Amino acid sequence: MAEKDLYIAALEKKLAELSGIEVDQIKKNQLANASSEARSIREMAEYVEGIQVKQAGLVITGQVNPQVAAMFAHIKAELGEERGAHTLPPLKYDYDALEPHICATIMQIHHTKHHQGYINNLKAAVEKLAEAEKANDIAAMNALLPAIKFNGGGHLNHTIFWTNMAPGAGGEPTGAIAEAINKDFGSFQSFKEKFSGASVAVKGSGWGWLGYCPKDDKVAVATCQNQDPLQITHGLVPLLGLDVWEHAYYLQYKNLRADYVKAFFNVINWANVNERYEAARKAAGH
Amino acid sequence: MTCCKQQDESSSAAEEYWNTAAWHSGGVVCWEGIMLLVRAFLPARSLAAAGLWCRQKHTLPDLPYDYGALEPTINAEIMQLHHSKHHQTYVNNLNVAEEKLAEAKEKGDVSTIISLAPALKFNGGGHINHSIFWQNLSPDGGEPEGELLAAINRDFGSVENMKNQLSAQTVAVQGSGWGWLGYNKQKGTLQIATCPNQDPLEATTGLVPLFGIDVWEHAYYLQYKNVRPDYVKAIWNVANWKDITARFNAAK
Repeated sequence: MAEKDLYIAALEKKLAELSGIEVDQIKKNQLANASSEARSIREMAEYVEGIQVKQAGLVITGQVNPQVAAMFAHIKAELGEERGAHTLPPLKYDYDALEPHICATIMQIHHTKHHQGYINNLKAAVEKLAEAEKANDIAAMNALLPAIKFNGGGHLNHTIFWTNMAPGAGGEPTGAIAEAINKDFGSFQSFKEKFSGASVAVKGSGWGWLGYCPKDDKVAVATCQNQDPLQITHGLVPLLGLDVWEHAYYLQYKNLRADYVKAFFNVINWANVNERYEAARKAAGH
Repeated sequence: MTCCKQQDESSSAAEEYWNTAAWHSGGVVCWEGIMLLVRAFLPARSLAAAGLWCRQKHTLPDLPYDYGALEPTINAEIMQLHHSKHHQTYVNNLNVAEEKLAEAKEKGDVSTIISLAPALKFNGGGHINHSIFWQNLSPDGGEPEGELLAAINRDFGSVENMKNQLSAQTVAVQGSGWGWLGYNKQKGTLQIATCPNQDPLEATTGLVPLFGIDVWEHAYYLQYKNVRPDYVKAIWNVANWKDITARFNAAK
């Protein structure tokens, strides 16, 4: 019995080594139950003959997840950066410009540490992606998707966020975006409540968004977890984002996320939101 | 006093409840008085099942030490906010969710029951996780020894290796979550796992939680800012090996 088990185990190990083939578990069990050694060796030989080669766990056509390319396409559209050439965009205002709504310490750490961190890790992920491409290792490329979405999303989201804010801004929007908000939410107040409610309710780390749906030519509120990019996740073009990761407010607001969200409405750069809206509408052919 | 004294085999807890009942009843038999007596003698679960007793609300457990006791590893301001604000909020919201659940169950409203699942997981998990966390920490936690030490050496090679692995995986949590040293009852081994948000370890993975590291930013940001690795490295200074050992012994 023991020798047969050893033989089977050695054969399976060799097969696995050479080809990554998944051994048919049912057949294995049947062989283990075979009563005579001679018979089991004969059956094993027949079995080996009949093995259907099957790649375990891979998509048959061997495709890279399209979200990888999409992530870099969106970064290029926003920042003009080629894949791998990512740098920290400077703020258009001083770190203390958004006081008292968002304090200077938060702005500085958020920008120079957190956003920079995403950029550093994104570049590292890109290097690994390039190696995997050279080796034509589709599995490795796809395994990098979480890192690319997390760090690429972090880079993209924060880039949009810095432009969404400005000193001496806030208040109510005017122009095309104001019309869209009234049309799709009923009123600015209704939008504010919906956006605030959704942002406060994010469980854990994430973002609240006002986004544009190119298909329906509508604006809508949505939330994303972690750094999941809005467009890839929900199909909405990001117009206005609110970072509700604790690092975005904790030093100043501690656990009172609702107060931070309320204060955010004093710094929204509606001109920028309007610009994004008009560009998105045009790109969608409306 | 017309409430009969059912004190023959009373424990001190029962006596306490009796006294409360007596005060409440003002010496007259009343429903509340009787219920308080009943509660003293019967486990809450069976009472709830019998529909005799309203569900006990969850409460914030006390810390076994002062807010400043874990300095300089975790400062007092963090401990106070973390315990009295964050954990308290999970407790409050868990109670709200359970109220809604009870109502929905009474109405047979399955749709609402299902829709409450995320809130129960989030707030229930938050309550479970933080309750474990406060016990997992101590200004004076000792070192692993005996059977637990042997298990760590067996499953990770050394205590150093285990700490390095758990630290690395915990630092790598994307967004909010926890790193855990857990016990795999099926295999009888120690195992490391991470969970996102407040997902509770045992319900999610089946592992019994032994030691958890909270890496939600609120757990460290005021002191360590963005440098999560420094916090995770430092927390080993206040790991309460006595508590971890007790959990390990109970799980085996």
